[in-house]
Amino acid sequence: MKNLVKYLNSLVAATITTLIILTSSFMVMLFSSGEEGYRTSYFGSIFFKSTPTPEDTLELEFGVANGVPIVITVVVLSVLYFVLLNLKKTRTKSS
Amino acid sequence: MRIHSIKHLVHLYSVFFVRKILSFGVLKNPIIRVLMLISFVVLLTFISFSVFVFFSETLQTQEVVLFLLNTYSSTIVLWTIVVTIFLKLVFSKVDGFLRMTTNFPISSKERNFSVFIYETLISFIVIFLISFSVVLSMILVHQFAFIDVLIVNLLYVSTLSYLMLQVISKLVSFACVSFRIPKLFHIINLSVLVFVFAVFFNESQLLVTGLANDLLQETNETKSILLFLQQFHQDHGLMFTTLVYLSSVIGLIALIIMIPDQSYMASTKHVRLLGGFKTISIIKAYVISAIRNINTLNTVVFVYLAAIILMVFDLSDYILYTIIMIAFNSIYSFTQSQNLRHIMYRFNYKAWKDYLYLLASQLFIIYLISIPLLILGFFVIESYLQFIIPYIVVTFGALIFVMAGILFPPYHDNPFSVVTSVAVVTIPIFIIGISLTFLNLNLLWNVAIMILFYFVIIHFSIQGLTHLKRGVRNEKFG
Repeated sequence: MKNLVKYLNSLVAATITTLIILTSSFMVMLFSSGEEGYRTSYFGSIFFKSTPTPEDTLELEFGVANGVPIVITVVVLSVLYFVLLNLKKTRTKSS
Repeated sequence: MRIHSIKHLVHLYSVFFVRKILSFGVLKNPIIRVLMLISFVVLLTFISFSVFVFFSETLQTQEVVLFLLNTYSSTIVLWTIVVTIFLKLVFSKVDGFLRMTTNFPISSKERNFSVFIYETLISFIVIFLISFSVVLSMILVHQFAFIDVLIVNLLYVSTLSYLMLQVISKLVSFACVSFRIPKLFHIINLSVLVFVFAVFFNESQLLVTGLANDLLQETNETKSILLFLQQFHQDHGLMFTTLVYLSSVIGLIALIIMIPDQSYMASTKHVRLLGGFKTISIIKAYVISAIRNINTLNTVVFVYLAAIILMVFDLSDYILYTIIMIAFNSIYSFTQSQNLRHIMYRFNYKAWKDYLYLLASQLFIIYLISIPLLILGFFVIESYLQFIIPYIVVTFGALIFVMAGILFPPYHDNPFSVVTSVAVVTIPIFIIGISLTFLNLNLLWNVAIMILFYFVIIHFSIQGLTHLKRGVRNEKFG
């Protein structure tokens, strides 16, 4: 039961961290170039597409292009947080 | 009034804030602290970036810049009123917290002024954060070309509005003491502030329309009390406006100091309502512990008064939104039922049961209080969405605020816990909202993530209750 709680906490922390990473890389992508067209970020997982319309405006599209890097990040971070939590517990016990 | 006493009190609140709030509960964990900090920076960058993109595309001519800054200035006035109402709502429950100062050799005026300083500090941090993106984007787009307009429209307007609201509160307090109704001070004060908000909300709607017409027709005819300082600045320049501003600030602060104030001195915390039960159950005990609390009763009266004020100003469509204030009151549900919990700790205490009782009692109170407004709503509300949205907001809001109350228990009604918990809970919600917007997932995924999010809230709340129980029983953590 204690491990289940730890798994859950690690998963939550990993999800929030992944969302922060995705938001940051999305913003870096927006800042990095002013050119129009199709751009991807974070190992091709999120995309941003801008196309000029005949009315002299821009049509914007964005979203998930490939979910695999996102899932891998969540899994890796969950494992990392879980290990960190266990390490912290071992350290507290030994001290 | 002695300056050194106020200085010591402010120092005491700061020490309390750092030790009991910033190093308490989930914030004790350095990972959580770092995550919160990163989330906050990401959020601020995102908002600033969005505003910058909007400004760099739209703010080309001086007329458009002035139109936008004048419109934004009216928004800042409304935000100042909202922040003041929120802080008055939080600080109206401050008596328990201030009890630690009763043995100090200080006058109530010194004590109240030290609270005022803290209120002012929090208000200005919030207003600074709200206007940060606009100021930064304006400087990035136009450098310092409109710095005088920014100073007048944002700094001067927000400071003067805030101080005027404080003077109004002091006058209400003085009147309540003079008419020997000090217990009604918080209700009357909050109602007056809501009344002021409704007046300015109406005024700002008219102002925005007027300014838009002026921009389209290239005229300058719009006159409004909200633009008093801006027009003064246009006619007399920054130097003279600053002089008027400084003298007004000094005058208003002098009034705040001089007006006698007996607020934050309530003696009773409960009113014996709904007595004479033949049978008593745990859920009834939870409901009664919340409903008999004087602060809950104040909030209930305030909700009805706010609804009446909205109706008077022809904003009847929004009367059900006033119950959000009762949902916010759920933040105190944990501390209000603390005595019951101490009894339950002696028996077979289960954290999930405690959580269910907490949530059910809060939802019961919210729905019960909303019934008169709902019945009234059938006659005055035109859009069916205005029935559905408030109920969704308060139901999920109760979940969030009950969790905030568990993770940062506002013991002795301490207001700093409430402010911190609201900030800590809001940042991840915003981050998740923004990320979901970027990811542009389909409806099914969005619903799944929201369900996960609320599951996490429930899980954290139950975990928090378990930890608090272990803390009380001096059990080992982990």
